[in-house]
Amino acid sequence: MRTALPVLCLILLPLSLAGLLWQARRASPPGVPSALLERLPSADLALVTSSRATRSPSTEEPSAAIADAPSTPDADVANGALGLAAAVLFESASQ
Amino acid sequence: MNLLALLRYAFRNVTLNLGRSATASAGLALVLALLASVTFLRDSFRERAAVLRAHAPELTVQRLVAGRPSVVSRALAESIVSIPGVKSVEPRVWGYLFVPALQNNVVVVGVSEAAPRLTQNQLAAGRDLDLKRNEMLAGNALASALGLRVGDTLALPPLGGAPALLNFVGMLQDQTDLIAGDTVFVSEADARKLLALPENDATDLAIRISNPSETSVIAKTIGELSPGLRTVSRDVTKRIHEASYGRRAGLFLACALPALLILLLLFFDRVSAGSSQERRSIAIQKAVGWSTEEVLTTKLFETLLIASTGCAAGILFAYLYVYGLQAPGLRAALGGASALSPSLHLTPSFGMAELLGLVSAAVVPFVAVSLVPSWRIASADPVATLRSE
Repeated sequence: MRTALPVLCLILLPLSLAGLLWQARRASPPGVPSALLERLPSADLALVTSSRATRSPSTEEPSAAIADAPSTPDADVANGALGLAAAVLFESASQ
Repeated sequence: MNLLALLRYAFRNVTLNLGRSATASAGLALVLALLASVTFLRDSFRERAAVLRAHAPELTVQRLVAGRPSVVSRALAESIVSIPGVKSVEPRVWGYLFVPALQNNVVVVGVSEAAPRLTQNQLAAGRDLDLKRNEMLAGNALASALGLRVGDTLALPPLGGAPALLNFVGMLQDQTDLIAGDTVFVSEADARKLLALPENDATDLAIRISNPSETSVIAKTIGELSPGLRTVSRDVTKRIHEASYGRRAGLFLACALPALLILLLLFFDRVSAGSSQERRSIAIQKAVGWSTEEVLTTKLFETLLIASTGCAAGILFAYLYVYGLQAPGLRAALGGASALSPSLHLTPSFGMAELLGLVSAAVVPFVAVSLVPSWRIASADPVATLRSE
């Protein structure tokens, strides 16, 4: 017992990893009927269904394949990181 | 050198300083749980997308107008089907409809007469569409969000004309949510009414190819048929999926790395300078005749005992969090947020390489930062070390 517990603690990690791998190998993906898969318009997952048309980035973003971050929101619309020139702000405020 | 005796001694040291050891182990468990959760979620998204891609057509043809996807003429299908190597061309009718009740888009898909039928046991409730009637079939997430029950009638707001009344006849199983939770299937005629799509147009064309290695040649030939045509191949879609899920996971992991570095720094600081008890303990071991090798082996065992329990706890927690609880909180960071929240039903798809990568990212530096200071103390003269205390 004095030796068994330390040895068990030491091999806990390899045992856990082996158990998870075994579990992962025998897990079968949830059955999705092929009749449904063939009806779907794109192979994109239904994760983002926003009011912006990003549900199917692979077919709707013409440059998605070479984009840095397809299906992500526009990070710097209208040069937001730089901000507007002060003159433009004053001009629009005075109108 | 009796390794088992040294292991017992190391275990006794760990239990004597239980509070300190448990804190280090818990810190490691938390960091590893975060890293493992992101890795598990990313790999499962990629695996699900790969299953979908396997059933997708080899090529999708669209028309770009002013740089944006527009509709294609159904007549184009006849030109494409005559290209050698093309097995079939299917003009598809689908699009988006904004539903004010959800403040969200739903995907409307027109089901053609040729589409394979869904059997009753493939649905959570109801039956498949009768294409001659005004009926609809919906994903589980969407039906739940709208509170629909089989037999209800729903007026979807069309893009033109009067609202179309549709009988809700079937609901998809929740395990299909990740691919179709936000989707409404209707007959092609109803989809055209809802999406205001003229009879001679289609949203895009799905091309099946006899020999997939000819995809790029056929895509080039299609591109030459008419200006403005754009083809999306399965390979391109794969690249997009890898970029989408990989980048988000990468950004998240990059944000989580400082947490691991801070943990290692704190541990290094504690081992190297903080503990005079540690210095005295090592110096006494050396003074009574322990070799440097024995001292370091004991320290290695101590660190491995802490790291092993911490890593195992972290990875097991991540597994339960992602595959048991469906990763609440993290799913929005990696998958994006939406008013419709599909249930994930993810399948573990990691391998030995991912697990070893995670463990080595945490355990190797953890062992290194604890062994180096111990080696420095063990290399010094034990009498001088004890006098300086």
